Formats: sequence, structure tokens, C-alpha cells
Amino acid sequence: MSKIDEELQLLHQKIVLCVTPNSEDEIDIVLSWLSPTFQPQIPTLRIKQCLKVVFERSDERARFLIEQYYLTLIRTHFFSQFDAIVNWRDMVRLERLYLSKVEFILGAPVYWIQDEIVSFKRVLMNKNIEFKKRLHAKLEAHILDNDLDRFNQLYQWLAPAFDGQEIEFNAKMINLKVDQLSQELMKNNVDDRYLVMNTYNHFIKDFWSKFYKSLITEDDHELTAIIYQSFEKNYTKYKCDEFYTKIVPQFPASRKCLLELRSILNKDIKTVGAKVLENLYHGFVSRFLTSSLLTCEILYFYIKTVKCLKIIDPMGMCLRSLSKAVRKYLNSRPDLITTLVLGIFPLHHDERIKVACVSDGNSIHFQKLEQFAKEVGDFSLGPELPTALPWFHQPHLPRCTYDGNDELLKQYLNWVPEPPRIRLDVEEPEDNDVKYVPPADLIHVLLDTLESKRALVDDLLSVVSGKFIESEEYTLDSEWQKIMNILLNHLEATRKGAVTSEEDDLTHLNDVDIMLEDLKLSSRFRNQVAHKNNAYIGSFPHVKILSKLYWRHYQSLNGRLITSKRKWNDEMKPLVDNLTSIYEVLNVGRTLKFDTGSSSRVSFNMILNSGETKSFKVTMEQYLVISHFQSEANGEVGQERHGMTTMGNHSLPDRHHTLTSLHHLTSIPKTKLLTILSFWKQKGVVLEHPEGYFGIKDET
Amino acid sequence: MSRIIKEYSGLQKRLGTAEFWWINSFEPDEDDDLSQWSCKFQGPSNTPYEGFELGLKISVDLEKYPVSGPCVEFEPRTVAHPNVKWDTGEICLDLLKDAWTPIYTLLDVVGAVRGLLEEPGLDSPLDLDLAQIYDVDYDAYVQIVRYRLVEARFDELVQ
Amino acid sequence: MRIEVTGVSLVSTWAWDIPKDSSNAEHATIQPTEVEQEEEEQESDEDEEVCGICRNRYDATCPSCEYPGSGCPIVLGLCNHNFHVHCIKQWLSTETSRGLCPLCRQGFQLRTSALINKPHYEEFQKLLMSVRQHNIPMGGELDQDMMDDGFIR
Repeated sequence: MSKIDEELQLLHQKIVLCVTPNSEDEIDIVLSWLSPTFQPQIPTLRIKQCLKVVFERSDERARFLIEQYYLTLIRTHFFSQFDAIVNWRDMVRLERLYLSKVEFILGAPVYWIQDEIVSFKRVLMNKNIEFKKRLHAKLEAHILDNDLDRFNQLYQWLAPAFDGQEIEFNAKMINLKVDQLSQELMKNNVDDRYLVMNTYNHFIKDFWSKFYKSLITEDDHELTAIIYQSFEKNYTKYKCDEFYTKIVPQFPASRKCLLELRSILNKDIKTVGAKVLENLYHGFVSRFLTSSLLTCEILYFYIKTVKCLKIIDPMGMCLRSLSKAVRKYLNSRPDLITTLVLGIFPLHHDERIKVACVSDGNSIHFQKLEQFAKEVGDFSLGPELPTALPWFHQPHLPRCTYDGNDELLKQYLNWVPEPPRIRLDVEEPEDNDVKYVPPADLIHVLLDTLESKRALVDDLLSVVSGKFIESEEYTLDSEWQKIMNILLNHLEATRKGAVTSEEDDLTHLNDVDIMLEDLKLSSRFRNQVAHKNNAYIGSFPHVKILSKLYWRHYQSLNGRLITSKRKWNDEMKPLVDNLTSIYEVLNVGRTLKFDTGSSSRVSFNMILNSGETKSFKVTMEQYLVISHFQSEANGEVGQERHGMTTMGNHSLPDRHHTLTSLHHLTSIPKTKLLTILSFWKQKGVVLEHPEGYFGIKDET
Repeated sequence: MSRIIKEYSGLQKRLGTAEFWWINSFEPDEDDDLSQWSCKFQGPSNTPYEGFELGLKISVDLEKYPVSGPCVEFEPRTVAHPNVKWDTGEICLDLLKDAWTPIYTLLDVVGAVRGLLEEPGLDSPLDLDLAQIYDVDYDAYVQIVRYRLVEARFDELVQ
Repeated sequence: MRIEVTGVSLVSTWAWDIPKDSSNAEHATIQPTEVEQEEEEQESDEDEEVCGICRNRYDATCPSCEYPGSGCPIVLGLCNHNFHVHCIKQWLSTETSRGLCPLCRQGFQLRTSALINKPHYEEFQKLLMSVRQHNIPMGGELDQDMMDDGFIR
């Protein structure tokens, strides 16, 4: 401190010496006024007079010395408070303070004081950490709030104090803004086809024009290009994260987003594209291949993902690895085949139950299944997208058109280069050689999830055979037809000639053809029968004649064929015999065997003694049983009834039966009889009496 | 063609039974070509072939089988037998020629060949000299057969 | 209580009409009259009712046919051995067959009583005649009688 004082003293004396004529008093006053701590700031009249005197009498040297004096003063002042300066406002105040006096004297700021202040600022930024931090925070806040005027103001204030750090600083500011905008506009937005471009335009419009003037002096295209790319990067990052939370579930609404993503990836497919696809692969595996999801849920998401992937990855690089992973995982699920069957075929609700319960006792979530089946839809993967690289489509490239006949030249001109092969980290080494063709439709995808197609074919045949038998028609409706065709085509393509393992043996796919042929022949037979009897076809029984070996229906669980022989009642016997004899005539060497089990159906009206009429459509067995409860035509008790004569149970009253008597009448095993009787009991038709008799309810 | 496929699928099962314990291996040379088969089996006991493994080459006309029978031969220059041509391995067995019916399967044929080793048929020899020796001096016959078998095995090892 | 049937939808299967042979009780489409059955019957595969030549079941097709039924019929031999028409014809057209049944080596004849053979009488007659002409006399004693009686009545 004392050193400073000494120096000041020295200067003081020198000034006195320089100013002529002698005006020591005035100098004194002026110099003391110059001190920053002198109060009041505004000079009094006296001071003004002194100032005038001093400056009139000063020569250059004197002025220089006064400048020095002032500088020393403010330097002292400044550095004494250095650490206390934390806010920008503080500094501005000081600046004001230092400048005001000079302005007062000279009217305008001069370079020497400006330089001094700049160096103050510089040293503040370099040495006063708190100040710097706060100033930066302020700047950032202004940027983020879009408060660009204030920002500019601050920036301008700070600008001269940068020495070489401005690039870093500018970049940081720009990045901040980019990130902020990205977050604001790009997150969760899947509807905008040109989201990156729009965000970028936002950036330019709201921000850049005001911003760059302070930072950069010229319109720098390279810089804006880089900024655009960083928007793209952000976009890619966000969309990758949102892929499975937003994009996939909302597909197809999120299609536009996918298209944009695709065009971005195409720009640098080998690095960026590969990274993204790997990311997506891992994302799927970790998110969906877990035991907390149902099989149909997994399949549902898988299909959706495939549809999305088809857009962004038309070469199927990601799908290839993904389908392997999915296949490996799903094959540990026992209900895979059932789920696939239920999803592919347009089954009604009860048919679904039958299929589902036949294979597994698991509870089936029908809603989720519905969802899955709906997603499968018509198996399309969406419209085809061009697979050639975008640069090939750019309009400014010359297109050659050639109208001649030279095949070679045509080929040459129409050649489209193959897109570069992306290597994903998740691929296995053997993938390198095999030529991979991405799946054309969903059937391919779904069937691909199976290790062995054989079980599917088995299930398929069961479903189809059940469907054929149940339906009243002789042909499949068009929907089923379509699906059958698609499936058969696909399965055909994977069949081999000589089979060495049971797994690959799909030759029993032919059974479908035979089933259809059987139906066709049955229809023809029915026509022939009607023709022979010259009767209207409608009055004839709807008959299906099947080749037993080829219908799954007749195969019991251990692969053996089922036969059941039942006795006809009076009503049915002539009909059946008639049909059989006609058949034997028309097809020499063959005869008919009737499965009177669960597939033949009879519809009838039941007229009770009370006058009430009920209508039923039941299986043949159920009908046969109940038909034996009918009253005799002549109503006499104990009359000889067909089939009862041999039993000798004459003491049974009419229309009542025991299990034994029914068994002898129909040849249906007793266990089955009980089921049938309880069915009729449920319908309110049959009553069980205590002694083990059964009789018709509600008779008077 | 499906008949041979059926035989192929049933083969494993039958080979496991006690009836065919003496067959060491019986399979097509290549999985997807069922027209060429190889069978290695143990020579029957109480014959000079006892203790040796003999190799058969069977070829099937896929179009005509089973209406026309398979063509069965020993590996050339390995088995000496009155009904076997030494140089080519050709076997003279009625089952393979006139007595063939579609009832027989490849296994049946192999069984019949083994039976032939036990009891040569002297009325239709392909190796006249050996047939003569068998008729006249049984022990010499045994020696010759054994010698030839050992020699064949030696050749195989050397290769 | 009365029942009026309004409609019937029948599902049946077809089967080859193979009548029982008088000498040995074989497989057939036997209709049991009084049978106590306590369980669902399953076809026994002990007999393996298959064609001896192609080893497929009778109600399946022979290896060269696609659809079973009239397109791939079977015939019943007098020796009680039955084959697919295509299979046995292929066999009989070879020289080695000499017109013999592959199973029993007797001259192959169609059973006259069986309806199932009726459509095939003529062609088999032709076939067996040509076999006779081109071959050494068929083995087996039975043949002589058959040749005398003529083939088919």
C-alpha cells in the first residue's frame, strides 16, 4: 500500500512540475477528485473550475501523467475489491464509476481507459472463478430463455475480454441451444415427417439470426451444416430410446417418424446405421424376450417391430439376427404353435377355445390374442419401399434412357448397385456367406419363428380337418382359402425331397389336398343320390364321405385310428342303408362306414306330451339316445320294440330306460352314455329316477 | 421311392432288436441319396468267416424298387466263397435274381447273404475252384478263406 | 314324446369292401352284431393291413398316386393276398415275376367272388395271358388247374 502511495506522490509532484504556471492547489483538488472513492462523484463548481484551469495549463506530458495517475488509482481500487466482485452488476457499476470521470473530462471514452477496463474484465474472467461461473450461468440462462437481447448485451460486454476462448465458448452456447430445442421439439414426437428440418428451421428463425451476429461475423454454411447434423444426432438418439416405448406401439401412426429415421440412417449407413440397428436389436432382446410376457404378447410386439424395421432397414440386417434370437427364445415356450395357429386362422371364439384347450390346459388371454390376430391381419408388411440408395434418386444426376435392343447395354444402364452390407456386432460368423433375403410377408416371419414346422403342420391339419367337418359347406370360404394357399405355398417351399428326420417330414401336407378332394367327391355323390331318387337336393341329408386315414379327426392321441360302431334306430337305419347301397353301386368295391360319433349332426323337433315343442341340433349319438325315449306309435306298454326284444327286460315301462338297456340298444359304452344323459338332463329333457331309470321330463 | 424311405425309417428300430445283432452298421452312403447303401456285418459263427467284419455294397434302382431287386455285392477282393466272384464281389444268390419278390426288404437280403455264407450253394458256383475245394477238403477251404480275409484286412490297414 | 327329424348332416368314411374268405378268417369290414364294448375301439395294427409291395395301407394310396379311392384301387388275390392295382400290375409286368404272387409264389389270380375285383378282370386277364406267353410255365401246382378252367368266369 505504501508503495502505491509513494508512486502516487511521485506522480503528483511530476504533474505539479509540468503544469505551468503553477497551480498546485488546483492540481491537488483535481487529483483527489479523481479518486474513485471520492464523494461526491459529480464535481462541484469549484472542482470544475480547477479542472478547467489544470487542463488549460497542461501540456501533453502533464496529461499523460494525469492519465497514469488515474490509472494507478483505479487499478488500486479495482484490485482491492477483486474478490468481492462476483456479479456482473458489480463490475458494471465499477466500470461506470471509472468511466464516468473520464467521460466528464474528455467527453468520450478514450482508448486507454477502454483497454484498461478490458484488461480488468480479462483478469476477472481468468482469475475470479466465482465471477466467471456466475457470468456463464447468466449467459446460459438467457440463451435458454430465448432472451437474446440481454444475451447479446452481455455478450458484447464480454466479447473484448475473450482471448482465444471464444470458439469454445460459442460452441458451448450453440450446443446448449440445440439440445434445448431438441428436447423441446423432438422428444415424443412421432407425427412429423420432417421433424429434424422443422426443428432446425425453428432454430434458425428464432435464434440464429439474432445469435450469430454477435458471435460470428459472416454467414458460415459449414457451421450451419454441422449444426444440422447435431440436430440429426439428437433426433436419432431420442428416437432410438423411444423406439420400443412410442414408435412400435403406435405403429402405423408413427410411420412418418420411421421414414425420417430411415433417410437419416441412409446418409451414413455403415457406422450410424449399424450402431442404431445394433441398439434396436439389444433393445428388443432385453425388453421383450423375458418370461413376464405372454407368448402372444411377444409375438404381437415382434410383428410390430418387424413392420417398423422393414421401413428403416429394408435389407433386413437387423431382422436377420433378431429373428434368430426370437426363434431361439420362443421355442422354449410350449404354447408357441397354438398361439401361431390361433393368430393365423380366422377362427370364431368357440373354435378358438377348442383349439386352445386341445393342446394345453393353459389359460388363454383372449383379448391379447385378439390383438395379436388383428395385427397379423392380412399378413402384409406394408407397402414396398424403394431399396436403392437415395443418392441414386437425386434429380440432378443425369438419367440415361435407352430405346434400343441391346440387352447387355440395357442391363448396364439399369444396374442398381447393391446397398452396402452393414456388419452388425450381433451377427454370427456364418451369416457372412449366406445370401439373405428379407421376408416378403408376415407368414414368412411367423413361420420362421419355428424351429420345426412339423408340429405346426400337425396342428394346422387338425384345425382344418375340424373346420371341414363342422361346416355345412363343401368348400372353404374365401378367407380360409386364401390363408390356406399362402400357408401351403410357404410350407411347400421348405419341404425337402428325401427325408432323413421326422422333424422335416412335411409330406403329410398333402393331406389337405386329399381332404378337399374328399369334399368335392362328397358333393358330387350327394347330387347323384338326389338325382337317382329324383328328389330335391335340399331334402337329402348333407353327407360327407372321408378317407379315414387322411383326416386328423380320426386319429387318437397315440396315432391309432378311431372306430366306433353304433346301432342305428328305426329312423336312421333305412336312410343309411339306402345311402350305402347307392354308394356301393356307384363306387364298386367300396362301402360306407358311418362314424356315428361326434361329427354327424341331426336337427329335430321334440314334441312333448304336454304339447310343448323344442328344437335341437345335436350329435348323432345324442340323438340316438334320446330317440329311444319316444313313445310307441300305438302306445302300448311292453310292446316288442326293435332292439329291446333280445334283452328280456319286459318289465320296464315304456319310454324308460336304464343304462344297460340303452347300451344294448345303441352299443354306446356306458361311460359315454352317462355323459350324453347328463347333457339331456341339462337341457331339461331327461329326468333321473332313483332306481336308476331315466325318463322324459314333463310328461303328463 | 417311398418304399425305400419307409425301409430307411424302420431300419433303426429293427437293427436294435436281437434278431439283427450281427449287423454292425447299415446305412446309405449319403443322407440324401438312398440309392447306394453300405452294410458291415459279422461273419456267422462256425464258419471260416467267424470273427471277421464283412462289407456289402448295395445299390437300389429308386424307380423300380421294389419291383426289381437291389444289386448286392461284397467289396471286391475281400471275401472268398464258392458263390462269390473274387474279383468283383458279385454274389450268386437266387433271392437276388429269379426268386426276388417285392416282399423282401434290404434287411432280408442281407440276412440271406449271411445264410449263404453258412451254406454255400454248390449248384451255381461263381468260383469254380473254391467250390471244388469246399466239396473235397473242407479244412483247406477254411484255410483259404481265412487267408484271403486276413490279407484283405491287411490291405485295408495299409491303405 | 315324439321326434320329428328335420335335417341330417352325416359324416362317414369309406372303406374297401373286402369280404371274408371262406378258408381263413381275415380282416374285413365286419359289422359286429352284439358286441360289448366298454371303450372306444382302436384299430389294431398288429396285422398291418398293408400292400405287400409298397408297404402302404390299403386305404392309402400307392406311391405313385395322389388321391385314394377309385383312382388307386386294390384287388384281392385268390391266394388271399391283396395289393394295390398299380403295384401288382407293375410287378406282374416284369419278367422275374412270372405271373406269381410275391407273397406265396403261386400264380396270381383274382378272386372271382369279390365285387371289388370286377372292374379289373379284363385287364388282368390280358396281363396274365401275356405273362404266360413270354415266360416259362409258372411254378406251382395250382396253376395247371387254373389254366384249364380259364381265368375268370
